[in-house]
Amino acid sequence: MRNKFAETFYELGKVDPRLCVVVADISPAGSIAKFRQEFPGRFINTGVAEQIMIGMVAGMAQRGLRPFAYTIATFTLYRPFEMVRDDLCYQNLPVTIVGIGGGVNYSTLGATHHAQEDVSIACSIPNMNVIAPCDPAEVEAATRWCAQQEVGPVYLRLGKAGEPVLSANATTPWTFGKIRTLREGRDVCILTYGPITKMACEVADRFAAGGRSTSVVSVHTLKPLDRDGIAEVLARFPHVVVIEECAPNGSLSMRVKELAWERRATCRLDTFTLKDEFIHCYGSHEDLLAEHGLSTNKICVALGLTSS
Amino acid sequence: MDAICEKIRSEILNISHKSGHGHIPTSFSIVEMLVAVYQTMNHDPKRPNMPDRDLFVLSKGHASLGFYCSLAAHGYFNFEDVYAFGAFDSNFGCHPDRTKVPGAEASTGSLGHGIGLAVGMALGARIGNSGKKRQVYTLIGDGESNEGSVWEAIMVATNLKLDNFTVLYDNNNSQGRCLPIPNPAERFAAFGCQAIEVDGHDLAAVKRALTVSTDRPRVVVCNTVKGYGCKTLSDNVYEWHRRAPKPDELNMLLGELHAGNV
Repeated sequence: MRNKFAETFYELGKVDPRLCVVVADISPAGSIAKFRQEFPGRFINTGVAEQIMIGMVAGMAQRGLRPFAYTIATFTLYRPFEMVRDDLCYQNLPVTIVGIGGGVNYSTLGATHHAQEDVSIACSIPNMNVIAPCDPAEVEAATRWCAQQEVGPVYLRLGKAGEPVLSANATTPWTFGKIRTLREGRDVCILTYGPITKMACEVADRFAAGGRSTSVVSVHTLKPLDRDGIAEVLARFPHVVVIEECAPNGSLSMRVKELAWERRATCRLDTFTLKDEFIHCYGSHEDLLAEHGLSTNKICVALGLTSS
Repeated sequence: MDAICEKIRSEILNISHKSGHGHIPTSFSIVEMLVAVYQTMNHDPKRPNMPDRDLFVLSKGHASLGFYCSLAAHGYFNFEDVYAFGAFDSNFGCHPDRTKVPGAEASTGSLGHGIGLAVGMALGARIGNSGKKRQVYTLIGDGESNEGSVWEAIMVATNLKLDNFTVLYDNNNSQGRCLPIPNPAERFAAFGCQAIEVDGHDLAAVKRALTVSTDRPRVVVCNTVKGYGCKTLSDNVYEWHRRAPKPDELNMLLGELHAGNV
């Protein structure tokens, strides 16, 4: 995802002189390094100083530029939270904050580097838009949209590396604010977003193996949430499952449950989120997710599918 | 005291009295600084969104009343418009809102924010340079400068060699009671700025400092007095920090102001 973002940004930046990237102590690699080399005036590294990173992209946007602030997810939102709220969202400026390694992706670095509440926090701020693509192809589409949008601030939550393409057979193109069916089914629908979509697809395979045709839907835009699209899913499918890499409070799961209540949905609804806990373990991304209760086997067991 | 500064101060008192709101002493300390900026910068009060205008950001947003009265004195709107200060349907809140106030480039209030925005604006002016060097000014408080974000902004501004960026530092001894910042000009110089120290109530001196040529960010440390112009205010800054004058107090303060006994 990181590389696809960089490639896309570089391509867009070559033709749009308004595009700038402001990073906070990130060593530019790949295409971002190429961008820096070719357009040094539009690549700014503030050092370990996230408050000014956010403050200055707000000022730059106000002068007609289209800046992207880019660093590890926790440092994009948590350290400079008031700048995000006051400088970007209150002033409602078209800036993209790119959070790398959302969720517990930085699995060996401890909870200081786990952005497990980032989506909830970002969604809670007025004017903020929140996007979490499911795969590199959605990263490209989302980056293209962010570079030209005039809507306001965006939090673009990315994974890191190695995410497979999962949207090749999607029934519709990526559209901001609209859910997107990645694979079609009739009996069960899994709502998901971000890199954990891979796990959602594996759970869908298990459902299918048990004879239940399963849809997988990318809820790539968490805010504004496609409430009508999700309401249609709740009305159409007898069983809806939410799988996400986000703490429970303020999660998609919570919002889908709220919507189900409002629309008097009668489907079965199961939700799987990170725990409302700091996990004091290390290891792989999968190890951390599993410690939070999120693995294909654990979810399948909870859903009454084949046990591990 | 210059006539325009006396007029601004008298309107600050009148509006605070009428509205029941306002931080008077901190608004009084920055009047000459504001007038110096608006008498120096490229702007057109009749076209506040003029594309090639210079920019000013009031980082210490709680001095909004001084800011509004200075904008009014320079023709952005009438003083009477500001009399609804803080009212529900007023354009003039106790912190400025850029969507409502002509001439306000940023919505500020929480301290330590405006300077970062101004750094971005100065860089934005450089990247989007259409040939003319646009100046960006921001006014920060000494109390505000307890915020680490101020120093992050200064470090980035000097690293980027933003020679179109000027900070006016209101050295009004706000933090004398808790976390003082001694020798601010030396500190800003040590961070790589061109630091100029002036009497912040000497309008001509502030204006001269704003026009000194520089190849790096400029900080004009303005030594000021909270409540300057009214001895009752400057002698009792804590009592008057956020307080509106009653009718008899208004007359007393206006009398002190017009007597010129500072």
